[in-house]
Amino acid sequence: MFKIFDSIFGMFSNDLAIDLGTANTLVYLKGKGIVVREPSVVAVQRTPTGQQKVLKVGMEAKLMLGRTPGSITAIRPMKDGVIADFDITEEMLRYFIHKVHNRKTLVRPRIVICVPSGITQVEKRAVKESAESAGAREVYLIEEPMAAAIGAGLPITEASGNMIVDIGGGTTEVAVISLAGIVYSQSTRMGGDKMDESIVQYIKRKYNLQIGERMAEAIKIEIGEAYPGPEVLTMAVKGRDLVSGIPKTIEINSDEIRDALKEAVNAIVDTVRQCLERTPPELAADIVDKGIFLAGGGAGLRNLDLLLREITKVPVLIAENPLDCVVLGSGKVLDELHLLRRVAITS
Amino acid sequence: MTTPTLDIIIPVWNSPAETRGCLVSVMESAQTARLIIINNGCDRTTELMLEEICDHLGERALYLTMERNIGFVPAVNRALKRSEADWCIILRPTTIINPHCIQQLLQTTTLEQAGLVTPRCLPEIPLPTQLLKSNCTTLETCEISFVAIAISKVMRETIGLFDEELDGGPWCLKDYRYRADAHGFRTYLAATVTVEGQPAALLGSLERRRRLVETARTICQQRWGTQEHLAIYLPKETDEEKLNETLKLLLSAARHGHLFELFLHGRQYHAACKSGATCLHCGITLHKLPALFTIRRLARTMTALTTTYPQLQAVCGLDDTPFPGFDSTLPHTKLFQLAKL
Repeated sequence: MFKIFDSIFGMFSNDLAIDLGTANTLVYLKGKGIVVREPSVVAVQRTPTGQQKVLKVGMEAKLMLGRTPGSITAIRPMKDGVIADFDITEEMLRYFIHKVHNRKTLVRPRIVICVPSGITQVEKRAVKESAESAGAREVYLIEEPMAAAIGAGLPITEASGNMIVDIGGGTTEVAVISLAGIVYSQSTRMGGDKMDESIVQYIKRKYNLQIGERMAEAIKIEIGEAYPGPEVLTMAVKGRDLVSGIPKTIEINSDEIRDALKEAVNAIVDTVRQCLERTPPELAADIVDKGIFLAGGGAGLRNLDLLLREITKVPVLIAENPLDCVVLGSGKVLDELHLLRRVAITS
Repeated sequence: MTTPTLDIIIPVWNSPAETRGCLVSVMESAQTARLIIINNGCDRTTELMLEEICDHLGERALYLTMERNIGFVPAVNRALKRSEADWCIILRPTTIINPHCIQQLLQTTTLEQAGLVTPRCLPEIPLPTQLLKSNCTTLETCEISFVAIAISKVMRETIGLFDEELDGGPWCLKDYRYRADAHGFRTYLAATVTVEGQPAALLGSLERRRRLVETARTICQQRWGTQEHLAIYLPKETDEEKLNETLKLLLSAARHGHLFELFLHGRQYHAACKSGATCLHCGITLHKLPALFTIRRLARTMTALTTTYPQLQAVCGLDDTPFPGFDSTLPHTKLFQLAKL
């Protein structure tokens, strides 16, 4: 009986692909492209009865970060690539689904959700149930590296080996894909967030200056690098002096930030190297020919490709649209249902 | 007679569920054998599972960890170097063996000059035609697979390890079998023992694989010559002595990897069956010709066979009797050349 309603409501719904990232959530609407690109943040108000009420989601909630009274908290429901708070994630998903459907009610779309490759059966089931509760008719889960590889335009259905490195906000996923399946994957809980944190700690330690996460992210984007480039970049950084307690501006350069990011970058490089070592020689030979593809926000870190090339001696290429690779890949499979059924994982 | 000691070699690369299934079936079937498990660059889940099983097995397990995935054949070679038992069985981690499989395989190892023993590996090696016609329990074969293969220590010490430069698949195995044959070791098929395994995962691009197989084939052919597939017809008047001579010649050539289709008249066929010719070698297939329309049946069968095996060639019978219906036939001396007599 419910199936009949599902299919009727389904006719009035548009299929979606969601990249549920630690830092940002991207939504791809079939036939339209990326329609939502918002931070994965939810502002929640705690009522006197102890219940939680969602106030704002996405960009509006992010703007509330650090500016909220005691009863309101801005929550990041995703942590290290996986759902940390299921109720809040469900609310966030419901918000995005309704937002792309222009706040129409009774929408029952088919949804493709990207999940990190290492998540457990319980976590997979939880993501699926969250999406179903948020109004999805059918939920398909795709592993992030697989979606990133499709989004990067790699020939994943061929028998040859393709290596994709997806550096997200919470995790870095390295995978070798062949015949539409992940042959080997490795995930490390190291990503853009940890890099930001490293920058905060470095500046705090070296200059006794407290900076915020947003400032750290800006530094990373502006002058962050993984390998020395031809010129040294500088940037003025504003923060609060930890000794005097008053605002202060200092100038830092890219060499210092490279030093700050060393640990995070090394963790990523080690994961790639380990994955290459543990890939069977037959597939490794293909990777040597075709190269390693970088995707995700972290791929934008200056000279990371040079560093990886230097260490692995394998060509490294950055995907055309690294930030959107995952959602574009999952959006692509919405148009090719046979491919979706091949690459979707069971929960 | 004492029971030979046994090592079971299993190179593992991920697929923890299938590997566990394989290891459990091995532990149930081989109570005393030592397991040599090679962790060929596995992920953490598989690694933990292997460690747990090896801990449980204690001294019955030798756990080798490779820092990186070195490939299947190199991993097998590393394990072979560490094997000290009289016989060792190589299994793919997806192979499932039956409870009495190991015991039955070990019985076959007592056969004359046995160097390699293989069970019926499904689905990789098709059922030899002879087995359908006879009740053979063992016969010589040329088809071996990494799904399951037993190797004797004596042979291993004589001919060495697998050639890592070859394709890591059929040609590598063929080369090994040819080497075994060159040193007088025989390859037996334990026909009543069946193991099931998934086909080997094909890794790498098609083009690279094609190149690798082509190179391996060329190397093998340079080393051992080309495999011939020949059809022989014995005239009705051929006596039993001559028939046995021919069978002996064919057996000798079949051991070098050649294939034969032997056409026999009813009386000869029964005599051959009586002397155990159907259980000689997988490479020798006997065809019984009817009493009536003999030549027509022979021609039809040959047409069907040449369609399936385009490389099949007709050979003159004893005393260079021509093959009926074929103008160009190879001389009978060809058989002596192939048998290297």
